Amino acid sequence: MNGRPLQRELIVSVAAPIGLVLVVLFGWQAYVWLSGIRPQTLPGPIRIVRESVESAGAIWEHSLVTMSEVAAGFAISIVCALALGLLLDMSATVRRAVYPLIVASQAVPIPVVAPLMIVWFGFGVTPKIIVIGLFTFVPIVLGFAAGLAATERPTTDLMRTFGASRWQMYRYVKIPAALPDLFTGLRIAAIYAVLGAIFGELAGATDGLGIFLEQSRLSFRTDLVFGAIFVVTIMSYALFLAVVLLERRVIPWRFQRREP
Amino acid sequence: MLEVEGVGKRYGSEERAVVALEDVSLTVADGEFAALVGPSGCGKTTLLNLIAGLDDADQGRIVVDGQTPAPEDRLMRFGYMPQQDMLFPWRTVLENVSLGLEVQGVPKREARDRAAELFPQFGLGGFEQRRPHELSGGMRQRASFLRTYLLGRPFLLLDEPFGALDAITRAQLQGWFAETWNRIGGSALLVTHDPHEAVALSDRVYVMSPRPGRITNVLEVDLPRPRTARAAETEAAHRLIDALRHETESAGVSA
Repeated sequence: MNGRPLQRELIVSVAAPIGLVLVVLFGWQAYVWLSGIRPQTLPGPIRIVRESVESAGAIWEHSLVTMSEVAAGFAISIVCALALGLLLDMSATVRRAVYPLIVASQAVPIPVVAPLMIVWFGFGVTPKIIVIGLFTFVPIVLGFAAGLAATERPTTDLMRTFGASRWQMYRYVKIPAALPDLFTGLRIAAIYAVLGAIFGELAGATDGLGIFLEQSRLSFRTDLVFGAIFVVTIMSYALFLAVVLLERRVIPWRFQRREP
Repeated sequence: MLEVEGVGKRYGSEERAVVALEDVSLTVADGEFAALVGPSGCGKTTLLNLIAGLDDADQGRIVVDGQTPAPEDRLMRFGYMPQQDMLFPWRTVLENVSLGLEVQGVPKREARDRAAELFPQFGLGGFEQRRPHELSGGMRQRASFLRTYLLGRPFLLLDEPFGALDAITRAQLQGWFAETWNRIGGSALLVTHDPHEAVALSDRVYVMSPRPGRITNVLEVDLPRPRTARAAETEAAHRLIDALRHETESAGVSA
């Protein structure tokens, strides 16, 4: 790969969104100054930063709780999704039985169900993990299952003439071929994982960014609400980037040019 | 020795069934190179897949060395080379070529050593650690052929191995293949739609007509062996190619 287009691409992909954000922040601050709007209604970016830095200790403590929930919930969700994805591909019966349920699970109004989870599982980490699972499980399963199903007849025929067992078919062909689709699902899931933790905390918790958000809102600290939202966004984005970097490591062949 | 006796194959439901093959018989003796020529859609590949054991015939028998093994027992009797190269982008060229051996249980290290040894002979020397997309079309087909050859099965089934290549690469690869065959020997059934290719490489050509696929003629190719890359440039070869072209064209028209 030659460096120049890559460097240029990198500059554009970093500079463009930062530039846009700066323009929006500037307009926002200008509006707050000119209109004299109350900070409880709409604080300006400068105040948000100042107050958030003031409360950085508390935000950090709550962030740690949320991050550990996300780590546990996302990891468990991935493991379950990979297992179910394989099962869906191996058995038509399982596929027919489970597929409608997977689709239906996405229609569940999670904010309404989350409080029930607290009733069932208490204030511990379990309900958060389940809510994160509800948010992230489906894109991973669907991506992985679609990738596994994409291996076509001529390929499996060749493997059969090698004498490949079912397991070898998965190991040598179907699973590697499914990785790009799996990572598409993982990227989508990564965006929703932190959101899942916040919803889980809002339903009932003692610590976490969701709790910090709720307490700040109830005490009219709108500046801290924005600060916490900013941290949630950064967390989601970091998780997304981690998945993208992992993808580049695991399937480098995906990013090479097709033709010489 | 391979004997195909009265093989038939249909696809689809009873009343809408498409007859892919009807009463197809052919024989390939040990050490013989046979070709199956016909227009596209005549069922050549279907027949090859039946012989390979990838599919089950509705009628007839497929006899291998005097026995009639079930399809799943035929799967590992033949060296099968598909039309597309099927080199996987997540493996290096060497890892692709040794895949068949690895699947058969040969230890990874040994499989790769055995594959690497043959890379120069197959014009792939120095490309062991490259990815398939870095190879030219002709090199990819050679890698695919090496992967099949490495399995060490004495009878090869070749499904249009040069079909996806441009004319120049194709002619070069045919010449290379003819000369390589002199060294490695064995029996083969080659499926192709190219009369020139069939004459250049084979001892006997079966002509197929489409819908339903059946054998309409057999031509003996009595060109001397070992064949050179220019074996099909002689007067005798040209007469055979012309005859064959005429055969396949009329087979195509009659459908």
